[in-house]
Amino acid sequence: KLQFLYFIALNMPFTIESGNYGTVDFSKSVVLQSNDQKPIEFVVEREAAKMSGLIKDMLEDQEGDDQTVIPIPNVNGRTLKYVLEYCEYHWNNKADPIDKPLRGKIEEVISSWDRQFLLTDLIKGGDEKQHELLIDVIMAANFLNIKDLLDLTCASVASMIKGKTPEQIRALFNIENDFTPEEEEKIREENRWCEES
Amino acid sequence: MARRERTAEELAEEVRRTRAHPYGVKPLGNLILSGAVNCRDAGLGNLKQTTDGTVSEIVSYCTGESVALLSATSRSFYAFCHSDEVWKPLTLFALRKDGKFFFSDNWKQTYLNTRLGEQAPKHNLIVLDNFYSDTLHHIHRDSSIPIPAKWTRTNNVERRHASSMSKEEFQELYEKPGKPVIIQGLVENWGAFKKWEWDYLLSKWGDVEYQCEAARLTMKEFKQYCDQQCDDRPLYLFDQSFCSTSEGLSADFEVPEYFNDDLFSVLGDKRPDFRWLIAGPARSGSSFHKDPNSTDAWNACIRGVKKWIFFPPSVVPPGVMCSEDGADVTSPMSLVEWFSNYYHRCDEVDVPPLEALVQPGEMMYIPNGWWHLCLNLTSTICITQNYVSNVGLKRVLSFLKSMPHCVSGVPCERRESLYTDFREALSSNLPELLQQVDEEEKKDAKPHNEPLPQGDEGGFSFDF
Repeated sequence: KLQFLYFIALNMPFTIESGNYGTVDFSKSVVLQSNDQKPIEFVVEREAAKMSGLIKDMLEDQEGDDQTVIPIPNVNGRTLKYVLEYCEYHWNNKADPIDKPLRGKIEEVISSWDRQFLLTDLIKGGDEKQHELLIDVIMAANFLNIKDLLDLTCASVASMIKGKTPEQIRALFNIENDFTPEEEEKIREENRWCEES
Repeated sequence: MARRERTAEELAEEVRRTRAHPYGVKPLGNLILSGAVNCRDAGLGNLKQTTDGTVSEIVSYCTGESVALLSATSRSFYAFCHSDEVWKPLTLFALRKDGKFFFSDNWKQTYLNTRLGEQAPKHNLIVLDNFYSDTLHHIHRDSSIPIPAKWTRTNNVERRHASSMSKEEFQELYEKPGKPVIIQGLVENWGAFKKWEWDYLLSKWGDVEYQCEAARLTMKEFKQYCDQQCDDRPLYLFDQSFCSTSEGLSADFEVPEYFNDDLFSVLGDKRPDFRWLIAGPARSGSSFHKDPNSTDAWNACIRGVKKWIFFPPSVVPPGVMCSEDGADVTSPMSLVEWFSNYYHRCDEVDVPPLEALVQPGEMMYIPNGWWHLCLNLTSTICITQNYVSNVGLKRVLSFLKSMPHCVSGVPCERRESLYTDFREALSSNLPELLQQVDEEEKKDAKPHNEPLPQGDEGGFSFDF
């Protein structure tokens, strides 16, 4: 019970010993399993889980008290933890839509909670080069169909691209330059106006 | 969502008549057959495992400069960054900050024209020989496939001629039961029908601005765009202020007698938006929707041919995602995409749709609550109006009272109060009518007092 309170206080998704559903109130929560060799099981409030369009559809035909345990292919425990953290915070606290195109940098247009969510671990320590988890969350949000999370993470990548030269963008994302020299010159010529703005 | 499988002949015909992708993007199927290597992944770097849709989503948050510089990183990003889907919204956004619209060749060039005017560089298209993507190719295909005859074959909406239908008959047979009908013999008498060729319109109103979705363009600018564009989802001119901005235009048409009980007129200029001038090239149109505020509507086809599909109020059309509060709509697909993916599924619906091919000079009556879609098969010009008559007043009042969050056509701050505002205006101008409606409403709400006949479900029901 103490562990339960500890996790609630830190707003982190609550994991349980595999298969030990004794403490789970299935009228309010569901259990989601990551796709690791040894799956990690998360207890999530039903309403939070329904931020995922995929899960929402699955739960549509369900009766309230069924012991709902859903295996999530494609998403490992590390990523699922952050996805669910987002859902547990935002399911009844919807984020404002992010304008397109992005005005300024992402940090300037999102809430402080989202800022911390993004810049602690997804972009590790706020260092753009350390974006591995961000990309994992993008893929999970896409697979699970969580629009607001996908918007946030995609806008973050756009923010990282903003203000950089092609060389800097390539370095950041390990992009292979496969243009011929002629093609590259053509584009550079056409892009001169970008340097002037 | 898998597209309906096409026959070999259909595919061959499609290939023959479709223009090539301007940047050389090919569908994934070609990759399997050719054994070539797709440059997609190498050019995306750490993003290679994300889907095409996700990469496009990332690009959609980038500014014009960002997209241009991103397109220089690799062939893969070059392909993603040069879709019309990218440069069209950026252009419309740039227009808001004082750009001059001049459409030439494609949306990227048009963006450069808008941002940089005379200084705009020429966009030199690079044709890629090794980029394969279904997502990017489908958009192109939707913009260029010839419209198949089977999409336009069904024509089963009833047609009536105005000379043989009184207003009472129209209300009894179509407005009261809520049944679509095409009325002939009205529009063809309008000045608009005789005069509205583009030369005439441009000479009179060429420099007037009209609402074209997110942008405001002059008629000249819009026409020039229409002539040059090859969009999968062309911009639609849809303007509600035309009667006040375009002197003389309102003299070219008249509201038919069937529809001249226009009760919202009691609100004067506080009334919700109610009439639109509509124009657009082939492939433009409106995807499935219900008309606002539970009103009825008429749509006069002055030029061009329009394909209509109707579903009754209780039947959600295939491919339409109806969120619980009707509020959330994800990025809508183009009409061509809907037809390609979902039109054949109309056969699977319990109630088959009503469909029509409307010609110039014909007028469509759209009953309240009906889902409808309209695809322009050619360049079209129309006028449409929404109205509520005596027939529908009770229903509309009911709607405004019980669903204030769904009210539209008035500024946000007046949505909640439209019900009371309308009632007040009615009681000043048409007190007997309002009284009559209130009495009917009371009668509907009375619970049954007598014993019910056998087999009846009992209880009472509201008529919305």
